[in-house]
Amino acid sequence: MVALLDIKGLHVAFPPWSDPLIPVKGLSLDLAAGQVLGLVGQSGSGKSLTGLAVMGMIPRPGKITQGQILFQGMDVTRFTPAQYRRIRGREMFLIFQDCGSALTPSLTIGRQIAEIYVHTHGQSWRKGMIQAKKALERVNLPPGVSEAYPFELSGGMRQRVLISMAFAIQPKLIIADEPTTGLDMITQAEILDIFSDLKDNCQVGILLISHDLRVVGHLADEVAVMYGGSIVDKSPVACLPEQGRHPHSRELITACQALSYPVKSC
Amino acid sequence: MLKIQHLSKHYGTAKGKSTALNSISFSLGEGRSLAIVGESGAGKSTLAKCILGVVPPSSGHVWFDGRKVDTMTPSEQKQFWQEAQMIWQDPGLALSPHRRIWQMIAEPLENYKRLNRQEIHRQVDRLLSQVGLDPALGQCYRHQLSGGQCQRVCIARALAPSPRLLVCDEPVSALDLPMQLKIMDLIDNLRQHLGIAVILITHDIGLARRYCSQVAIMHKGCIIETGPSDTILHHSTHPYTKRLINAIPRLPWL
Repeated sequence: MVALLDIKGLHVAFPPWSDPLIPVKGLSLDLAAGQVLGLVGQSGSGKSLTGLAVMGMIPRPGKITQGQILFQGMDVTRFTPAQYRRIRGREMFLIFQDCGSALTPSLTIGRQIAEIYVHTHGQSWRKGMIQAKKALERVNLPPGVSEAYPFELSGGMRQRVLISMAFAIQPKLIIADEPTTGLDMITQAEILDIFSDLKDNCQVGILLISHDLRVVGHLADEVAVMYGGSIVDKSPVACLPEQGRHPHSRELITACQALSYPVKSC
Repeated sequence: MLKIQHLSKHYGTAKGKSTALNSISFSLGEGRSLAIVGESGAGKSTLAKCILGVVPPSSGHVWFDGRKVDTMTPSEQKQFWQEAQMIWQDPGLALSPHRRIWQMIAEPLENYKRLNRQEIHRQVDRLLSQVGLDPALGQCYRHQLSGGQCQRVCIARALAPSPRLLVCDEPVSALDLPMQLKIMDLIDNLRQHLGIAVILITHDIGLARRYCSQVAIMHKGCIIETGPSDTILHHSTHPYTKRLINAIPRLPWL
């Protein structure tokens, strides 16, 4: 079976080309459909760039200098912009940390979600609006939100709107870059529950990028620790404390254990 | 040392009056630590600003060493701000982009302590090493430092007037997890060695439990539960506190 996403020896470099900066250096990972892979690491370790590389959205003048990104067996690093447009936002979907900037400020939420049904699934606007309300319900937002503009919503609500779009698009791959950073703990727990729903019911592969091992540990099946542009440890989540050898993995595990503790559900 | 009695704050909005704080009361002793935990919009930051007298309360009082903070004259206020300092959530925004690090730490020393130039330089170096930074970093600007280093600079600046109370508003939520632990360890060490009382405002109840002996849970402008952190976490009775505790991500290996 072909893996949903298979990255082999990825290098991303930035100028000066005589002595380039290489924030992603020989990164390899693979992800199967219906699986959640957590990518953790400190700020500046190249996590977000990896996500952007998969989406074909590396900010210029940076570029991929070596390696392959196989998405459903196709090497997307060789795609033309037109080919990329056909899969980006349909088969692969990116959820940003700053979800405010991912929504258009001058259109209502309902219209923005309905657009997906119209353009991606070829439905009428009337039907699209009804479907949009259903998508909002799925992420526990009241139907009234569809009439609201992005600035009227809180950070947690905007993040839920983006996830409802993921439900609407039904992509094969979701890249979630720090989806809960900046949200409080209760909102974070609600968002994580919605992600679990997405994972269980939509057979979607999720690449979850976060600096918080607690978030990754809660949701992911496998975790990869990134340090200095490559992956230094990779194991099933439950085995990381035994298998994590790299000093940075140990540091993450210690921090994570210091700030959480076994709590019985009350 | 710090006593808050029936503190309320209302903001006027287009839709009428919105209540940010509703009759808050608590007290804090010398060198003690208290965590105020709640979700966004619970009124935590408004409470911090009211404690420091930056925002005037609508009713109720804040007492610091028997003095009323809300009715202080400007000179009393200056004296008060020497003793009570604040650390903000975004360390980058709290520092000026145009000035060198040492200048920002020197400013409170000049204003409050009236030291001579040589002594100021010595104090700045001492403060920088106290927060675990190389004194040579004093020559840098804010954009040359990482988030964790900036937060250390903010702590050094807050320590410069030798305060007795430190109000920390989400001091580590912009940092990654290992760095959160390092910064909180630093604040906790300073509390133990210098006897500074710390109010930690956070949404992370795990952080509150680790670093504060007392926890107050805030919800919609009210303190709904307060007590020693272990009691609150293990024998909580309030449904909202239980929701907060349940919101801590579960780890498969714990």
